[in-house]
Parts: sequence; structure tokens; C-alpha cells
Amino acid sequence: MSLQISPGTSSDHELAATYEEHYNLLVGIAVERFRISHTDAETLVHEVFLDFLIHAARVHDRRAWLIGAIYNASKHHLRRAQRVEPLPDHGPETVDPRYARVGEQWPAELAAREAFARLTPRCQLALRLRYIEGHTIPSIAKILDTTKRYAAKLVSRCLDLAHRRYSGRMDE
Amino acid sequence: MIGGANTFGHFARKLEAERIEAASVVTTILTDPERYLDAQLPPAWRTIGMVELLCDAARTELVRWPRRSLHLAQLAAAIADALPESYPRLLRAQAAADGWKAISNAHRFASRHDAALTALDIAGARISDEPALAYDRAILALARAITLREMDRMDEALRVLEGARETFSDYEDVQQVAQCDLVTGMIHHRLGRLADARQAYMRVIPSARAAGDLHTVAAAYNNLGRAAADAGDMNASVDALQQARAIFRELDMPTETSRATWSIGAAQLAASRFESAIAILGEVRREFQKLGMPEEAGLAGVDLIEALLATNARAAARELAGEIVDELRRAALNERALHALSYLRETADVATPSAARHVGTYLRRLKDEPKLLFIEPDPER
Repeated sequence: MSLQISPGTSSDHELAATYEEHYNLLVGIAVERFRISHTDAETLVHEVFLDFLIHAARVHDRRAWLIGAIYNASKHHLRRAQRVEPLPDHGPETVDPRYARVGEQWPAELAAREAFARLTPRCQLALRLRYIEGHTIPSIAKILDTTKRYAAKLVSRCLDLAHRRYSGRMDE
Repeated sequence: MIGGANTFGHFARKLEAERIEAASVVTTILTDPERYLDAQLPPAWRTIGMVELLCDAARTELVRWPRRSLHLAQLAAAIADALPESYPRLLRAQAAADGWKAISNAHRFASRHDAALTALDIAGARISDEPALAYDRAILALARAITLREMDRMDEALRVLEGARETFSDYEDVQQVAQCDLVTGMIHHRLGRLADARQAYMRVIPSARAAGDLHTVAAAYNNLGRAAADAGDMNASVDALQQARAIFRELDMPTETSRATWSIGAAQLAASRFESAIAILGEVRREFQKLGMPEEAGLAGVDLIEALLATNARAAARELAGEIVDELRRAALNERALHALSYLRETADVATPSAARHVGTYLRRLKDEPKLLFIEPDPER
């Protein structure tokens, strides 16, 4: 069996032309209709275009799609902005305590990431579910469609592998 | 801010190149996807093109081989979660949601609905805080509604669908709006709200046609025909089913064409047009046999027995019941199904059409509830 690329894929010139044609319109909508700052509006429009890139082949009416996208993105942006406390203009410039030992933390973090990246996809899924997303073993078993016993064994074996890879990296 | 037509063009070219490169890799992976879950990921595979093509492949494999579909989807999700940071955060999040949605689909197809919902939760969490990904959230909502419908959680499904439909309407995506209407119709249909179901199916037809999505147009006509039959409107039912069959035939989908013909036969049977029903159901049964679908051939045969009993053709009914028992035995189908069909064969000389209907209903339920016991119908009925 061979795999075909979907036929509706647009050329990059065509996509760049769509960008040029609609950019100002979309920024204008975010700024004027939703009172979003020009900088934030530009970021939103750029993100809308990135998502458009993924879906472009299936979009029938690009203009309508992009306008719908900036409306929804602007509304979401405003909702999110309401939840965020702005920083005081002249607040104390204390350093985030998480960065106090950054010189030691970053190499360790980079080594951990590299060790993780060298695991198998199954191990990456299992460890991410367990330790980053906080799923229980029964839940991991359900998601990976396996038994609880195998899921527990998988997590433990993968964690052990990750430790060994990490130690190897740190020793280099 | 990273932006401008140049950056956009750069990502467009990059993505295109990745899709081309991924095509040959995914073709290789398809030979044995599970093996690649236990091998180290080559860094060159950590691309959005790979995630997209693996998700496409997972979708294609759903019907043929759900287990393989799950492995492809797991590989897609693992790659998506390990994409390098040179991609914008938004693209990484979108790809991860896509991978987890593919996992959810594979679970749903295998009726592991709880796992399907959990995978959708994970997909949703990846993109929940991205303002620009409302469209992707609506896609997840549609998938959630389909899953909830299959779990008989109809009210929740309708609520979720409403939100998805609204977003797709904002994007003027008539194809996705049509999908939402189709699922809405199916929910109303299941709840017995036949007028609402027919209205929803009717809404699907112009939208899907405008989007050039003939498969959805045919599905809507097919469902419309069944809803009309359930409402006792047999002429409308047969009209709609004939439209569905013509489109399925045009799309060269023999299985769906035969299913539509089967529904036409069932509508004729419900309208007591027995001679017509006998001719159509006989043809459908032969088509299913040719397609190598013994279960469907058997079920269409049970409808045919009902029509034969209604015309007092008892010898033919008995002979057909015997044939079906033999066919299903050869296909190694559920023993309980054989028991119900044997009952029909043995009682063909005295059975009423409603006994055949009782067996047909039982066999259809048996697909979802394989341990369901067969209870012989009340002879007084």
C-alpha cells in the first residue's frame, strides 16, 4: 500500500497571496471590533494563519474562514485577558525564585529532555501520561488499551530506562 | 512576534516538503505499526508532516483494522508531543490534538467509549488555551458528540453539537455544519423525535451538496428514508432511499448501495407491499453474499422470511431459514444467532411474520450485546 498526499494542497505562493490579501483586514477586525492592541492583534492574526495552513486544503471559502477565525480568536483572547492580572507598572523587580539556580537546573533539564527524546514512542506516551499529565495506572491502561498489570510494568520499565539514559547524559 | 508573508510562506513550504517526505516513511510504517512504537524515533521523523500523514493513515485503517489504527494514532501522538521547539507552539499544540483525536477515533471504533472520551480530554487540554484554535476545538467537540451519541448520552451530545455547529457556522464551513446536522438528526432519530430528525437530515442535503460532499448527501438521504419509514411515510421513505442508492452507486460504494437497497426493501415490507419487498430483499441478499458479508446477507434474509410468511409462502421461508443457518454456521457467527434462526426454521409452518421480525430485532441487538439470550416470541402475538 502506498500513501497519497491529499490532492487539495495549495501552493505556498497561493498561500502567501492569501496572507497578503487578508492580513490588514484581519488585524483591523481585531483592533477595531474587539479593541485589541495592535501588537496583540498582529500575533493573533499570525496564529490564525498558522492554523489556516494546517486546514487550507479543506477550506472552501478562505475569506469567510479567516474572518470566522479572527472573530473567534479575538473573543477567546479577550476572555483570557480578563482572567490575567496585569503586572504593576512599578512593581518590585524581584527575580522569580525558580530561576535562582538556573545555572544548575538548565543543563539537568536539557539532559532530561534529551534522555526522554531517546526513549521509544510507547515509553514516551506512558511516562508523559503518568508523570506530566498525572494519569493513574488504570487510566493509562485504558488509554493504551492494555492491562493494568502491563501498564504498571511499562511505566516502571520506561522510568528505569529514562533514568539510565539521563545518568548517561549527565556523566558525559 | 514572528510574522509576515515570508514566515508564513516558509512554514507553508516546510510543511509541504514534510508531507512529501513523510509519505514514503508512513508507507513503510504501515507494514507493522506496532513495531515502531517500540523502536527509537529517528529525529527526522519528528515533523508535523509525519503527524498529519500518520493521522490520515490511522483514519484509513479504522474500518479495516482498528488495532492497527490505534498503533498508528499512538505513534502520531508520541511524535506530536515530541516535536522540536523550532515549530511555533501553536502548531505543536494543534498536531498533538490531532494525534490524540486519532487515538480517540480508534477507541471509539472498537466501542471503548470511555477511553475515547479520555483521549478527547487530552486532545482538548493541548489546545484549550490557544485563542486561534477555535476551529480545532470545534472538530474535537464534533468527535465528542459522536462518541456521546454512541454512549446513549444524547442530551450531552446535543449540547456539545450546538457549540460545534455555531463555531463551524462562524467559519462558514458548510461541510462541517452538515456533519453536525447529520449527527443531530441521528440523535433525534434515536430518541424517536422523528419530525426533528427529518428536519435535521433535510438541512444536511443542501449544505453537503454545496460543499461537494456527496457521501454525506447520500448518508442524509439514507437516514431521511429510514426516519420517514419509522414515521409511516413510506412514499417519502422510498423516494429518499432511492436518491441515497443512486449517489452511493455513483460513488462506487457497493456496500452502501446494497444497504440502501435493503432499506428500500424494508420500507416496502413495512408498507405491506410484500411482492415488491420479496423481489428487492432477495436481490439484496444475493448482493451481500457476493460482497462476502454473511451477517448482512443473513439479516436481509430474515426480513425476506417475514415477507414470505406474510404471503403464506411457508415452504420457501423454511428453506431460506435453513440456508441462513448453514451460512452463518460456516461464517462461525455467534451460537445464539444460530439458535434464534433455528427456531425460525423449525416453526416456519406456523410462525407469523411478527415472529420473523422478533428474530430480526434480536439479531440486530445481538451485534451490540453478544451475550443477550434469545427468548422465543409469545405465540399469541
